[in-house]
Amino acid sequence: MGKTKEQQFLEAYEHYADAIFRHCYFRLYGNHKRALDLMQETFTKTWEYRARGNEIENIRAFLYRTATNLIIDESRKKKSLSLDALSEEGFDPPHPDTRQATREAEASELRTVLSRLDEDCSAVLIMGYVDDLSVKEIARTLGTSENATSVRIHRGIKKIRELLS
Amino acid sequence: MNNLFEELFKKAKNISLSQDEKLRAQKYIMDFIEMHPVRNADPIRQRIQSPLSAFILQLRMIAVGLIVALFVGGGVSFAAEGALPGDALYPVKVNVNENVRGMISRSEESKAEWEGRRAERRLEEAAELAAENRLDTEVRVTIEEQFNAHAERAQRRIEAIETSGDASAAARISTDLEASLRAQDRILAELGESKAEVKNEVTEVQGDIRARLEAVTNLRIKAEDKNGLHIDIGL
Repeated sequence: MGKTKEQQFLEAYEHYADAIFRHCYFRLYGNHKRALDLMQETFTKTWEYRARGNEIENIRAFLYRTATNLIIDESRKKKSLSLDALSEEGFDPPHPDTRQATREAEASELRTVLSRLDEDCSAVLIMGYVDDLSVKEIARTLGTSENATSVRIHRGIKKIRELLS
Repeated sequence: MNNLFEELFKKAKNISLSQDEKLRAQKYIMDFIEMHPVRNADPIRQRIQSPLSAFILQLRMIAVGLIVALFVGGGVSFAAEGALPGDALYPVKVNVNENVRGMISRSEESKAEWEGRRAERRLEEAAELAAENRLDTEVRVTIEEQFNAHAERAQRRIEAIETSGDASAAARISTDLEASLRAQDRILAELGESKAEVKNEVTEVQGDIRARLEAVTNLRIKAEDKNGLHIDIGL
């Protein structure tokens, strides 16, 4: 018959690992190491859910939802830390892989812009423009309405426009 | 302005794992999978969300079993599956077997799929009758009515799934329905070519199929657009 659940899951990893990492990377304001950890945890948590016998209708959406939950937990924990400590930890020293380091340096402007938005706005902009999710998918991932999502997107765009001008 | 905005996000898409990181994490996840095997592979139990719904599902299954056993008898129900309009067992096929099957479809998706399948079954019957030169006007009209009723219900269910937010499921179901309608259309076209006696009746059925095909294709496109919709940045 078809592929085993394990094979299907590893295929999903192959497919979405980079995207989920990228999502975590920007949500965590460029903290490469934590993004790597959370990407890994997103997949293990998703597998745990699957291994309990639950069906996952749309694996991509499920992965983003799991990642989002982990990021929210993470930022709650971080709230107790000072902002200085956060930004110090947030901007990693250049990574040993030079190609990767170059790309991350190129994205530094976006990281700076995102760090100046409130978290709600930056989350929807990352999902919309980095992850290419639709308004509907974003709304479902965050558990809000499409209307609220659109409002946040427009608020974010407006703010970025101000920052860029 | 627009360009600046796009540039800002374009570079972001280059961020990825290094080859080494990706492999390492994969190894970690593979080990994790090995340590946490799937506990339950039974497809029916996977859908159960609470003990109460499990209980209700069980009751349903028992009820369905009883209905079939008491009123129809397993053998009759089975034999009826191959019946065609005009056969003695045909009402059992349509009114008992298919309705019972519909009862056990729980999710909105499986209900939509089942209505689509019922529409398809009517076309299969039309093709079989045509092949046996038994497709006369009276039977054809009845089949058409039934086909349209099921197709209409399938379309409405797909629309409801799409509006409720699952555009990808709506896209998938309408794609399947579209494909089976196309296949049936082709089969009937061939039969019409080879059997002059039933050609007129077959052409009538094909007219209905094509009207439905158009509607289902539109549904599919709409669902796909919604599913893959990119945000209009409105700058």
